[in-house]
Amino acid sequence: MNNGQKAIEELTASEYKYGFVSDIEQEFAPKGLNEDTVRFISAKKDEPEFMLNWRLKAFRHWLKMKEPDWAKISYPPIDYQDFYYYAAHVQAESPKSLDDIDPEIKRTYDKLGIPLGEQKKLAGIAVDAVLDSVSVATTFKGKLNELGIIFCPISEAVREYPELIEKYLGSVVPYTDNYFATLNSAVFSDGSFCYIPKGVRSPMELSTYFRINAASTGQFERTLIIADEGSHVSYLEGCTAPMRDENQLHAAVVELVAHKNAEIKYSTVQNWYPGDKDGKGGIYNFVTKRGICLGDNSKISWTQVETGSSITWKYPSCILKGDNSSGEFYSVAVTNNRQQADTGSKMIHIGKNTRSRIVSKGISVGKSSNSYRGLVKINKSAENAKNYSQCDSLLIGDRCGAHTFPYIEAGNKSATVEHEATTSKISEDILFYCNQRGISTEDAVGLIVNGYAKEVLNKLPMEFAVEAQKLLAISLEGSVG
Amino acid sequence: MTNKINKETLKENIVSEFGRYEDSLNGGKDSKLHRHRKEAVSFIKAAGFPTKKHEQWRYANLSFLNGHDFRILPEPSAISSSGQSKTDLPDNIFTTIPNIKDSIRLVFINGCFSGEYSDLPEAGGLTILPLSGVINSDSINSDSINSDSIDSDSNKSGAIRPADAIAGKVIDIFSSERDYKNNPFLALNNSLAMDGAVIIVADNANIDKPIHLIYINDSRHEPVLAQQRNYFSFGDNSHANIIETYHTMGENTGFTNIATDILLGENAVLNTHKFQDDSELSHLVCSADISQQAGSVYNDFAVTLSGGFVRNNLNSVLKGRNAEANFNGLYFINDDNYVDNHTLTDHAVPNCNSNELYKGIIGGGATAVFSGKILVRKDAQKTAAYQSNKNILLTDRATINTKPQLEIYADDVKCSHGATSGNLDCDELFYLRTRGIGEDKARALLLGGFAGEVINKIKIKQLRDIIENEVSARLLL
Repeated sequence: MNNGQKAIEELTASEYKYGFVSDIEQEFAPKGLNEDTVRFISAKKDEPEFMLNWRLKAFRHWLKMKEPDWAKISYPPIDYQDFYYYAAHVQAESPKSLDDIDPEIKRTYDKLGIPLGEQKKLAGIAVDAVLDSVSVATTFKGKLNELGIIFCPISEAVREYPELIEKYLGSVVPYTDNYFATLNSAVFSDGSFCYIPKGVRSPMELSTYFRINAASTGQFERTLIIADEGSHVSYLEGCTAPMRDENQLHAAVVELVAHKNAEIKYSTVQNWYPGDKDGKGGIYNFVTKRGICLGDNSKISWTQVETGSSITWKYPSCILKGDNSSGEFYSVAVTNNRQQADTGSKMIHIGKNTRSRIVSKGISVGKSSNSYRGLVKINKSAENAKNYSQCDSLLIGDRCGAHTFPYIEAGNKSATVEHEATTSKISEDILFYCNQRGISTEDAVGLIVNGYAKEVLNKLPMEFAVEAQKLLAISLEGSVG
Repeated sequence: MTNKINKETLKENIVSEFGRYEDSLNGGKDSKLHRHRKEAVSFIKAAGFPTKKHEQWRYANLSFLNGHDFRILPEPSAISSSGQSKTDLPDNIFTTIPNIKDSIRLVFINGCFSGEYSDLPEAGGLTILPLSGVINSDSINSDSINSDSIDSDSNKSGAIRPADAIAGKVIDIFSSERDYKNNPFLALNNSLAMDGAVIIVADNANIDKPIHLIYINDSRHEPVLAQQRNYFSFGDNSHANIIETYHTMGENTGFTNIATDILLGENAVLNTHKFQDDSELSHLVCSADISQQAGSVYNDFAVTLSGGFVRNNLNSVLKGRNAEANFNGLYFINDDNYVDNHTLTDHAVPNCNSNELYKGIIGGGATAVFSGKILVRKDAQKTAAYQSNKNILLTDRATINTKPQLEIYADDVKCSHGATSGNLDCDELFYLRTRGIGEDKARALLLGGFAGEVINKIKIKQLRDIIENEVSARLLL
């Protein structure tokens, strides 16, 4: 065995570096799911009546629903009674300042490289950190408040800004939307809420960091971002979880509302624990993300780098309702070992002159399965709508699968829809060219993959782009030879 | 045997009609064929016909299946003792059917072979038989316990007594191991299709004359469900051309359901052409399953210019190395027409090629659907598979739904697909107008060019000319 191979093996062995468990005192809701669980969560959060009713409506609806089976993923049946639907760290009083936070939690986030301390001003990112079911801390609150920006845990928003929540929660993803979104509506425990007032441009990136810590918990967070007229916000989301042998469920909902001339940029680096080499353990990631361009000239942009989770089921979508509004979706999805990803985007064109662009880059390695599934729908009313979609798949190894399932429904003659997809592997010629220039095969693959994904990585905010590139390199380690 | 059942669904009619058919069989009930038919009908009984929730049929409006009292099996008086159609056709019908000179012609009327209107000149290496003659012969029922009571008149006029081997293979196409779930119309066909064409081409035979299959649905007196079950087998190194045309007569709703199995031997070359230019009242489902051995080349053309409901299912399995499948389609539809092309190219072994080109011009309130899937199985390395679907919408009431799919399990492949939908290029129009060409004429020229990419690939000149003329007439060129 040469040195190169040894180095690769060492790296492969340490592939998931966020797999540690923090020892924090926690309280749980009783295991299982019934109306009492829903009431328990609502009571814990001290929620107003309307919220509880909404949750209960969702729960009753969920009981009548069937788990979807159309995605190209396979997993043993999920026992929804075998999860804790609420896990919270025990804290005597709510923290007045960051100094009051349990040092163990702080250490957790330090290990993850998330700046919770406001002293780390250099990072320049406002963070809402969510551990299991509750939000731990939100930084830079004061500074944001001066501009009228509301950035807080959603549980706090439910209490403090009930009128906004009542108006917008479920307005993009109704509680009847789909199996996992409905489940989330019933039992969501925390998440982030963000409101950017008229004409305000958020001075910093807003960020949520999700972390599952407790065993056997399902994490159900709910994010709601409202950009009022002429505002602008860039939002980041990151996720990790400990390495555990059992599968954990993560069913989140993200709703974005962009009013006239507003712009929301939502970036995700998803790195939930992907399970081990044989597919044991890992997070089931069933996420509903949808944004609506409500007003004219509004814009929503989704960027995602998906490297984690044993199963990813996620279709960030844009409803382009306002005239001249535009939606974008940039995605890099890497699956290794036995990971399965079924992800893509939906663009629904309703308004005139609406534009959308989908760029999806799938990379399949090992024995994984990576599917793009998307919909571009041009309604009769969408005069001069334009869509461009590009879905490329890169296969590394002959035991993986790459699939493309785009749906295009065009109903307006002035609309232009273009879709293209390719599937290929890294050509031996290119590798040979790199080799003869003294670049090892491993490095060459990294180089090529980064070039392949560059179009998407360029869309990420700087802080994330660096992390994402590293993540890509880690996910691909050991894939060659 | 009466079909007058009011306001019942086709499913119920099929089940009850099958019961009557079964009762008329006496001892034939135990034959292998009948066991297959029974399985097909029980599938329909259990699953029914698809709704929009069925992924493969999500855009299809199948409401025509209900509310019409389709005649499912022909009236006994319309059938001769040898099982052939006795229907008299008006003379003018043949002016509307494309006349391919110097062709081998097979005519089916309401699902039954018509020797009277067919023209079967001898050709070396070619055997053509009506399916009814093959499946009703004694030998194939040898595994039944009561074979002596079966209709024994297998020596039909114009038919050569088939070899037992062929009969056995033909019976196998009725097997329920087929994908009924994705295509319930195959189950419908297998349950009650009584006739069709069995075409056998010997090894190394080159059939010069095109074989023209004419499917006539005579719905002059009542709505008719006409079903044909075809079996084509082409020997190694053989070469043949097939043309299929469809004609619905009368003022009633006609439903034609055709299922074809095609086997291509090593290095065989087959061109099939479906020319669909039927009335608004016609409903058509054509399913073809092709199995290709090494080095074989299969070219299919599906040209649809009119039809109330047209669905083409085309599945090719590339089973031998260096096999090639080329699917071409053109749909140019208006009014409330519906055209749906569903294709699957299944690359089961390495080194095969497939190409798909489907182009559509959709006007009026018409809807077109394209769903193409390229499946590259594990180890099918060095596959090259391409797919392209381009559409032009002429009105705001027109709709295109397209779903090009790739499902790939091998890494050393080159696969791509592209789909577009839009209007004519303004620059191109402007260019023509600067040359003094009026807007209407310029549009027609551009659309003609758009359609020409598919039409020009048709190698049979007579057919190409007919289609070109039809398209030009529509474009007012």
